Amino acid sequence: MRRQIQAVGFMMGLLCAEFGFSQKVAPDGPKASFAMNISLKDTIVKQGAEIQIVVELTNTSAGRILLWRSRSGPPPYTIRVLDREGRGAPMTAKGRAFQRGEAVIRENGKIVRAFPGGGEQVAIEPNETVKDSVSIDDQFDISQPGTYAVQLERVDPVTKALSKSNIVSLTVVK
Amino acid sequence: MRLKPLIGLATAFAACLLAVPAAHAQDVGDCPDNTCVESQTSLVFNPSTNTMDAFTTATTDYTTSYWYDLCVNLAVMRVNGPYVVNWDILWPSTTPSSCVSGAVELEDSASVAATPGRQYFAEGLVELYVFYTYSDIVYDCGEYCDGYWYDAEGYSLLSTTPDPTNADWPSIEYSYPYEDEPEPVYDQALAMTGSGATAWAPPVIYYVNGVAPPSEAQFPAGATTTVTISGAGFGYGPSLTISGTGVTGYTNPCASNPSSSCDSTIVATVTIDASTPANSQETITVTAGGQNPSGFLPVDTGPDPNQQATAQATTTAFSPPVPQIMFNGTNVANNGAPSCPGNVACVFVGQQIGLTVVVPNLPSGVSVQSYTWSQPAGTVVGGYTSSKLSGKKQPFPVTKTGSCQTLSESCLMFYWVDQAPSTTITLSYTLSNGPGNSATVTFNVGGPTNISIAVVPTPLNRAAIQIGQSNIVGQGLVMAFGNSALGGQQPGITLNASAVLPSGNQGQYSWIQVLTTYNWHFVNAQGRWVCPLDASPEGDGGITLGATFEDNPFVPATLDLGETEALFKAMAYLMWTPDAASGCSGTACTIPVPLALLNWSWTADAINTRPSQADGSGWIKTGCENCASDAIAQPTAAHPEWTSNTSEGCQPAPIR
Repeated sequence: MRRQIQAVGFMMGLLCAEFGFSQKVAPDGPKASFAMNISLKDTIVKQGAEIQIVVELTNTSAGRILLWRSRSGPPPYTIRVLDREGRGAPMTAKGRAFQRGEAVIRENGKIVRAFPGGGEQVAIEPNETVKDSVSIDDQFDISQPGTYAVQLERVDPVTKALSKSNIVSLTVVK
Repeated sequence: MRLKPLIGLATAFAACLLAVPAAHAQDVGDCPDNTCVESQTSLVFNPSTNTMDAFTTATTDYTTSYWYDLCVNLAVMRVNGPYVVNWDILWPSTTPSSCVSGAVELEDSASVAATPGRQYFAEGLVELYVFYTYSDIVYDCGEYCDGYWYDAEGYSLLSTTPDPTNADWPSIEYSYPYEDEPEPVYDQALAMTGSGATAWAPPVIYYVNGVAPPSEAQFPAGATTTVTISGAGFGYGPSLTISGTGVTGYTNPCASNPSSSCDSTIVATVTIDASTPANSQETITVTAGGQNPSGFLPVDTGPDPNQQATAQATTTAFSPPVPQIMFNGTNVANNGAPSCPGNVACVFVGQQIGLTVVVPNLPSGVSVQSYTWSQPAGTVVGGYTSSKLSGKKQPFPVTKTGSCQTLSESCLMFYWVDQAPSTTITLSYTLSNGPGNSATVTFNVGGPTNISIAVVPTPLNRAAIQIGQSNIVGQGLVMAFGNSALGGQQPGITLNASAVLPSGNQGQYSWIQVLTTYNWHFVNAQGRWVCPLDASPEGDGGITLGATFEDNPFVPATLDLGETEALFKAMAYLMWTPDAASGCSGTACTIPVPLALLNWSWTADAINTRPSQADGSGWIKTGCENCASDAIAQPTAAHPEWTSNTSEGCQPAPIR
């Protein structure tokens, strides 16, 4: 019973988080030309294992769009990971750099790690869906066993509107 | 066809036996003056004394006669053969006649030793001698009495004296008997000895596996062979022995499941040891037993050494069986060159080749000692896995058993990378008792042909080097190959694959790129730095599906840098994954195989002349006029491998 209450509370927390994020986008502002749907390659992972998110990008506009798909370097996604209490999972140095929009990690002003990148522009026809993937375990410290909520955001390069994915639940076990 | 005459004879025999008592009953009925002699004879097997006990009794009532003798005689005979045509008289040894005058009931009995399996019959014989009296008195015949001394029958007996010629009242009393001697009354009984006896019709073997003795059937060594023994007189439950060199076992279903069919056919098995020398002799002995259908009544019989039939067989040398090589549910051993398409041995590069060996019909105690596969020709791998983090080819063969990749197990699993219209693998095995056998399987390995990679024309000059804001939000200024990373539609490089795909298997193109060099040189306030790959090669994003591949590498060109330089060398592998073979399921059914490799590179250098220009307009491109000119594709059969990947970044080191 207690577990059920916790689970309900956790999902409500996710909804609240969703609601909170939604407030940042004007309801009548420009809309993203694509929709994102995410799923976890493995919904239950062991501590330290790779956590890979499969992203489905669907063109919801009337015309052909181009979206960047990273092969290496910074991904085009903003990643949000919340634990059961709704706290954001701690980021790694790499994650913090990417979130700041930098491809380098600096310590005391000195570049200690750099992330040259590469990738491709993927053309997506209207209503077409293409797949992308992104690993999050190197951007977040998800070493503590538990359940996490994961959501991706991405800015439409044309409309500059924010597109947000669904929320998926990740379980990390020892 | 042989049953019909036997049935006819048996029927005639039974009718004959039944007719005997019927005839004598008629005789009794013919007794005079409504009187009869009743007789009954019995014969039973006494298992406690192992004797045949016979008993006969006769009763009569002949008080109307003047005088009679009742005679009883009992005989016990043993039949010689299946029909009552020849017998030995066991009782009495002579032919005594026991008669008692005026007896109402008379008995006789006998007990003779029972020979197992033999048939006996007893016969009771009754004779009745009857005298009737007839008298006449002639009074006062005087001197004429002499004329009456003889009666009309001619043998009248004068039974009264005195001499009538001297009597006062001469008279003669005639009294002459009339003897009525009816036919002897017979009564018979037949019986067979009981349990413990054998069939009394000696068994005979007509054929062993279709071979009529004295010709000899052949039993292969190292095998369990069905032995069909046909003949007659086996009984319902005959016992069987098969003996001789190398016989390790045999079965006889008729012993455990007697049936009428066993009387003429035994379907047994015999197992001959694999090491038995050729031409060894085996002896088949059938001992009749169980119920015997040939006698008057079916009775249980037991084994009797005297009721046996034998036949001989010859052992043929053991021949190790040809192994079966199973592939996707089909035995492909010695299949010859397959005709494609439509044959299970028509396979494609990248399809799992999983072979298993079955050595059929090995004799008990003999096992396969070793397997040896020939190395499949061409380039083969034990498997291939790839992700963003790593790409690894499983070597083939390996030394550790358990994965069917050692060339010395009962199975073999690998993937062909090379195509071949006809390639043969040989499987040999040895047995624990000596040499084994071998078989081959020939595959037709198909795949894409006429492979080419088209490098989409790109302005391979300094104009391809773009410096500007990345379209990856927040990433700031970058120096990129092409402008895709800046939100444009001019990729750094685009590769388009084409090939003639095999009939019936379109498969899936994919690309895997690894980087051998990705050195980012930069100058900042702390000096000159180089940020190389952690390892070479490094994976670059794992596998990309589709026939088209493009790349747009970039390095940072932030305003705090005075110079940025990229030295980039990549190996782009065109891969192809076939459709899985019919009947194969799971992720291991296929792997991507390399079709071609294209090496290409990109170098770029720029100097930030005006760091205050936030749009990057202060950067001036230098060097690299023809950066990707070495983009030439070549065939390859080598899978790309890497253990680290570019997403892990690089660590800058100062340049002294």
